[in-house]
Amino acid sequence: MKTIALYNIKGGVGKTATAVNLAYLAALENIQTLLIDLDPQGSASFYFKIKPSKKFSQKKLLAGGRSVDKHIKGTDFEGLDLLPADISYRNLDIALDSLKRSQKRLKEILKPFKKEYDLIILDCPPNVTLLSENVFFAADHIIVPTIPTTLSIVSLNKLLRFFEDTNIDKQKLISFYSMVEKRKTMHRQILNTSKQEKLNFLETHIPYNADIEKMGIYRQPTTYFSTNSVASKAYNSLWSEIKNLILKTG
Amino acid sequence: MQAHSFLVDNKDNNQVIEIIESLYPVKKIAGKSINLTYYDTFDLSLQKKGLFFCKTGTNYTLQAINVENNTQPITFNSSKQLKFWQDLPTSDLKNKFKNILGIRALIAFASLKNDQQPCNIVDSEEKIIARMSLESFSLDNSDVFLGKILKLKAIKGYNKHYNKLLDLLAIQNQMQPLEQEDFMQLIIDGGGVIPMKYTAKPINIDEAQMPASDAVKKLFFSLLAIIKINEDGVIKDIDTEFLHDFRVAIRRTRSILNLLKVIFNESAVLPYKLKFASLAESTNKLRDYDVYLLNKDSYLQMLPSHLHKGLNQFFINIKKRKKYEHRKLVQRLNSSSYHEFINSWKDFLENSNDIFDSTNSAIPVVDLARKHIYNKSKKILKKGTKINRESPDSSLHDLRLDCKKLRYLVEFFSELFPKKDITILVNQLKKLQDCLGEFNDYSIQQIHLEDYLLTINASASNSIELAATIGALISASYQEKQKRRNAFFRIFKTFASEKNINLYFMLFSMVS
Repeated sequence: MKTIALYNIKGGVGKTATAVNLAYLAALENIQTLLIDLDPQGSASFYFKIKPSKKFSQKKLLAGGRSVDKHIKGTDFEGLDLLPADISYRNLDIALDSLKRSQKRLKEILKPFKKEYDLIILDCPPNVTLLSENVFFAADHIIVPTIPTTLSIVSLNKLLRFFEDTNIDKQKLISFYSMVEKRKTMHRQILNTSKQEKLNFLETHIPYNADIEKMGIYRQPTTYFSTNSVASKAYNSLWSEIKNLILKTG
Repeated sequence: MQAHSFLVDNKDNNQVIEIIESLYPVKKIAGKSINLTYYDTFDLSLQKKGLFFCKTGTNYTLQAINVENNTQPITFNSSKQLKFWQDLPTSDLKNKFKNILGIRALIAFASLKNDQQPCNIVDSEEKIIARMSLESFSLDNSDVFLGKILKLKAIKGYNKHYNKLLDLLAIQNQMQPLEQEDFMQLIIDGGGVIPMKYTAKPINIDEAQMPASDAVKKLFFSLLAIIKINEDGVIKDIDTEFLHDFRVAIRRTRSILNLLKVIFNESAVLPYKLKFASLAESTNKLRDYDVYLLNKDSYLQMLPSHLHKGLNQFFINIKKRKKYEHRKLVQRLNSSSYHEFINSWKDFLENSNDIFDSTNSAIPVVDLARKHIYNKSKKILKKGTKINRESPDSSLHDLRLDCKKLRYLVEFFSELFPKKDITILVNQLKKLQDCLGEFNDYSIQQIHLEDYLLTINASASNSIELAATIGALISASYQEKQKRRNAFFRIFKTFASEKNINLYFMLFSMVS
């Protein structure tokens, strides 16, 4: 079983859209997948038309085991389940801070789900907190959707240094260009720059595309409702690369 | 995930959907119609193991009838027609089916049409909270309606909703829950070509005091039924067991007529004896060829691989000859003279007052059985003791035939004697028979091969290869034959042991 996280300190870069589409494509290939929405905004949950039960809260998440399992819901797609986010998640990092082994707590919570699921995808909130550190330790790969601007690259390098300082394996960090608009000069320039040293970039980039935004209307993954669109093809290619990566590393 | 099935009685799809919509909206999705074909052997070997085997398109499913065992169904794909265990696509499946089917062929016993209307049951946000399928089953060829089923499947995390649905269907609307075995029963009852519970064994005679004539008539009728039921399988050459069971039933009929001579009115039964003999004879070659082909693999194992090519040629010839014999037999079985014969035998049994010698056949069947079994076993003991290492092969063949006759007698009347004792005797007899039977098989094999050797065209391109192959097989057959000959002495000694002899005496001698 592998765990991957979609993470970026910046919001609006395509984390959730990517998480949702990757999860759907994995399930389509009979890979039993659990998507965990860690963002109190609950966008991933919204995309799948799933609301958390009234009894669910960050306390239940941190309790792990049955308390979590009870609240996992099947999406409309076979092989894909979702643990929806709850507004109480805004207090997650505070709650984590009061616990022992505060950085590795999430990893422990995910352990029992290894048997049931082949792949766990974490959709993360846009910040850097104790929760994020938990994600860095829990995930096998941290995937960072990056808009091709200078500031994004700066931010990415900062994240890399954070990994170095916190003794987290830098190899886990993988980026790809997201919301790419070829008509923008800066985007073209960043894309054409020879591979950013020290940063792992995937070949595929995801274009800025209205079909992706329409997920909010249809409340279904883009790769489901418009299989042949440019956006879907891009997500399929991205999933291919990521799948190879996951399968390669033991 | 939880799933339940219900029998839908007297409602169409829309009516069922209406019921569900009293709780949650229902969205129909694309329906489809599939064909399901169920396979089993003529003697229902899969059903006997609690399994059913079903095909739809090129997808096969092997599933337990009783789902309590919680065994997962096995599904696989094959575009090939599956008839024998060797046709299964993987070695795991081959092994599994080999153990269940043996040499029997799979026959399609029911062909159904399944019209499916899948639906999603959703909540107020249009999130699917349960899945449902309304499925109608009817017989494929005749469109005879078998039933409609509602299949409900839960979605993780929506148990509350699912339970509400169960309550709505099972309790409020009193829909009948359906288990897998009920569904299978629905199909079996509904129709299609279902082989009846088939057995190759004649009826058991269990009333000791029944007059011998009545008992023997009962045996004849049950044997006639076995002969008839196997005709179709013989004609269609479905598998080798049909001919085998057909021949054994004829053989058993003849053995009653011959072994229990005294109770019959000889002149009345003579024409039937002759006709049965002729019918049996007409099947001999075909059976020989069947046996060769069944043993093909063991032949191949007996020889080094560079001789396999020659062997394959041998088998090609066997197949040709089998085809010819089979055609001859089919002609005979389809002929009016055959049908007349069978019908006249039935008529004779049902209506003739002339079948039996009235005095001899009036005795209780147990007395008849004891007398004949005792005499026969005495004969075997006498003959077998005389056989020594110099005795010709024919003496062993002779003994084999006597053992067969004894075995039939014991089998017909086994229920008239204490089970434990009869089982011991049958086991001893079987060991002796197996040894003599194998001896016989290898002798015949050797003779056939020697004959075949003479027919090889010396000028043909592969003649030397073929001759070498046949020569090697003859040698192998001879070795095996000799092995059995040597084993005979040891086995007969056990059969003729004092303990055994005493048992025969106790059970069957008329002095008691």
